[in-house]
Amino acid sequence: MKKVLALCLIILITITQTSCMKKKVTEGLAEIGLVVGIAIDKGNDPGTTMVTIQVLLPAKLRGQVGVTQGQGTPYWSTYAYGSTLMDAIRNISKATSRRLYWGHNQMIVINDEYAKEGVTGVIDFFSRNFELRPHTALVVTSNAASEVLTTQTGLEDVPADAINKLFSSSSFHFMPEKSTISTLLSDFLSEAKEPSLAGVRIVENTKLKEESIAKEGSNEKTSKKQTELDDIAAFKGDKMVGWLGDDESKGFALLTNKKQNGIIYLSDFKGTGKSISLELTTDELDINPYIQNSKIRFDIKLKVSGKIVEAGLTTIQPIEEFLPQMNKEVEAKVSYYIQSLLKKIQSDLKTDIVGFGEKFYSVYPSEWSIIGKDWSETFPEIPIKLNVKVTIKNSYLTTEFLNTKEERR
Amino acid sequence: MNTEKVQIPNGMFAILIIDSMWVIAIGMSQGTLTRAVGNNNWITSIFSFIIGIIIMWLTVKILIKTPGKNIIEQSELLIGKWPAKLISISAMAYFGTTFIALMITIVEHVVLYLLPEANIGVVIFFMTFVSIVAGYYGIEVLGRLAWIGFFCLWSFHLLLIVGTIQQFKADNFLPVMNRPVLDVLSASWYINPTWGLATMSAALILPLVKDSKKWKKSSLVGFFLGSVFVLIWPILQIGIITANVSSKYCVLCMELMRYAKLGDFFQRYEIVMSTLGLIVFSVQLFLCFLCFMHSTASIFGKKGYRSFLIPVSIIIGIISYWFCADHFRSMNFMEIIWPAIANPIILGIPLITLVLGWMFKRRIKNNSNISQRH
Repeated sequence: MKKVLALCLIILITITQTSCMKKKVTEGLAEIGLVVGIAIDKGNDPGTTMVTIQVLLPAKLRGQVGVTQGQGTPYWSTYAYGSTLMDAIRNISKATSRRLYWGHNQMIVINDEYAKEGVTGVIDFFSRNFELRPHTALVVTSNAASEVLTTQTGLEDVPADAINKLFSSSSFHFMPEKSTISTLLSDFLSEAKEPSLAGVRIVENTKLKEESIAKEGSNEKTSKKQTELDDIAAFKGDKMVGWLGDDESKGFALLTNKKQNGIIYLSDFKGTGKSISLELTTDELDINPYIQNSKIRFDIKLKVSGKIVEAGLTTIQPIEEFLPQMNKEVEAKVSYYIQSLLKKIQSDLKTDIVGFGEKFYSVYPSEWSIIGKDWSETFPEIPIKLNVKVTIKNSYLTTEFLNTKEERR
Repeated sequence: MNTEKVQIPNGMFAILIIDSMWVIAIGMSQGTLTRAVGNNNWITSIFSFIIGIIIMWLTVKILIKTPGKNIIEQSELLIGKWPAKLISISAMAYFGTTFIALMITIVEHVVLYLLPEANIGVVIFFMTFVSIVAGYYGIEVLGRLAWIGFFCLWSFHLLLIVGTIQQFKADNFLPVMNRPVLDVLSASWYINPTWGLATMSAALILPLVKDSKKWKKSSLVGFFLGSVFVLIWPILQIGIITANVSSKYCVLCMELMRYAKLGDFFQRYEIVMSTLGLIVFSVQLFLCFLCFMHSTASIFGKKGYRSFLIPVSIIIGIISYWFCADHFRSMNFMEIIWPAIANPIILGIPLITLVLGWMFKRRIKNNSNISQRH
């Protein structure tokens, strides 16, 4: 009896646990289309959506650098229109011979005109999809999203992969961390913070000769167009309300991304006409809310340390003599970035993308229950005091500036 | 418990208790809790486990008076055969509804995250079938499987913590206790039924545990460790997913597992964890099934339950299918029906038996005198 039961159990496990129903796994990659990127634009007709997807063709991917395995581009892109996102995706499947698999999707690009009409559907669709990773990058572009997704860059074979990898260097440029489905969903659901998304744009390298832009490891040429990180797209609720400028985006990154290695330069330092570049890292960031005489205010305390990475001036004077002035000038510049941001989000866009509301709610939950409902009206009027402290602590290998022969004499 | 009086070591019993607390408490119940109390779900969970450990202590205290008898047999001794049927019926109702809750849990995991095209009927048939096999082999074989489950638990949590800790934000817990204290504590209603399986199973299987002097220690240590394994989850869920996002999902544990990330090449990492979790889930399901069969048999006054295995499984399998076939019906069962049935039973049976034991002290004393003479 025991043997019969054991045999039945083995047979049952064998049949039910192989996941081979409908031959999906047995025929492997030839049966599924690995979606690596999706772009969302407004459709030609009002109220419609255009969805572009990028599907990986693994057989055409190059192996190691310089080794050509397949011919042609290793991805295939297509698009379709629909009344909703899901409708458009289903329409795409009319033209795809394989089942679309979203588990490897790396990038979602949304056109800013589409984003201005509301992205609830996008958030909802992607947060319901169990195959899609919550860490999938999500960006906004002022170009056509389909164009951004299909612009072939020089270093990477797959454009979606290229855009995703741009974020690996975002901290070098005072850019915020990668915006993802999970961060967008979290900000969207938060009552005390508005969403923001990183931007990307297409730039044209007009000064480069076309033949100089070869795809790495092959003789194929790519277009002169390249994708690069852009400024920040600010939202209010589910609608995009505007772009931050360059300085404002830097201010945003300083207040939200503690992992910074951004470069700041001091032009015409001390009237010498020479510039100094400094790499900044955030040591401490505190945003504290206070209530005084029934009025709310915030104090921002930012401690930044700097390293001299390039100095154009020559002098025999020791570096230490210049440090107070450098600290002062860097402080002014950092303060300017943050003040620009605060002015933009309080006066112009009137949206709390930094999360001042969350800080307030954390410290004053009972007061939040009263003012939280009107936070979007209250926030623009709140005074925010900024206290930036910069300390230049390092000059890398050298202890002094370079100096000329004349100066040495 | 069974016709043949097998005895299991105290350590094995403790491991069974650890495994029995886990599956529903980390996902479906936490989703309900975040909807009820937001980022205070971890406080509610701690409060609930404090109640649970008290109930576990009470259960041991009750059973230690008659070491050879489980709670149903002791109540027969105290109030007679027929009134004690009420205890059997209540126990059967708890284990039956918990079996359905476990089936809903596995079906929701499979259908929503792992194999969306899987046939619900096949999943339920398979899980009921393996439960019958487990029921046939009894508690000792289940105890061995529980050991494997215990090592799976460690591996699972190690993988989970490694994959998610970098995303952990302590700020997500603020403000703490932003809801009325009574609301936060009363929300334990939703999570109590999950530890109920540990206390109710203990009430039935403790007489099968070898060393009655160590019952208290093995029960409480098992319960405490089981609670720790569960409490990791609400803390990670709030710290990583946030309360707002957590409250939107039905199977919150799978959502947290989807957030786990180990490099770029380990895709759908949650499937590895699910595989490990399936062993623990099986232990929980089999234990529940075993106790369900035993309480059903005790209603009919039978010592052994094997003759009930097939017919009762068919009935409970069909009922499970009816609930699982409709997602909204199953969520209603998990959030409203199951807690409403389970809470009075898991809190009431030990308390009633304690009071009865106090009222009819002499019967217990006489019984122990008879046992000593024999």
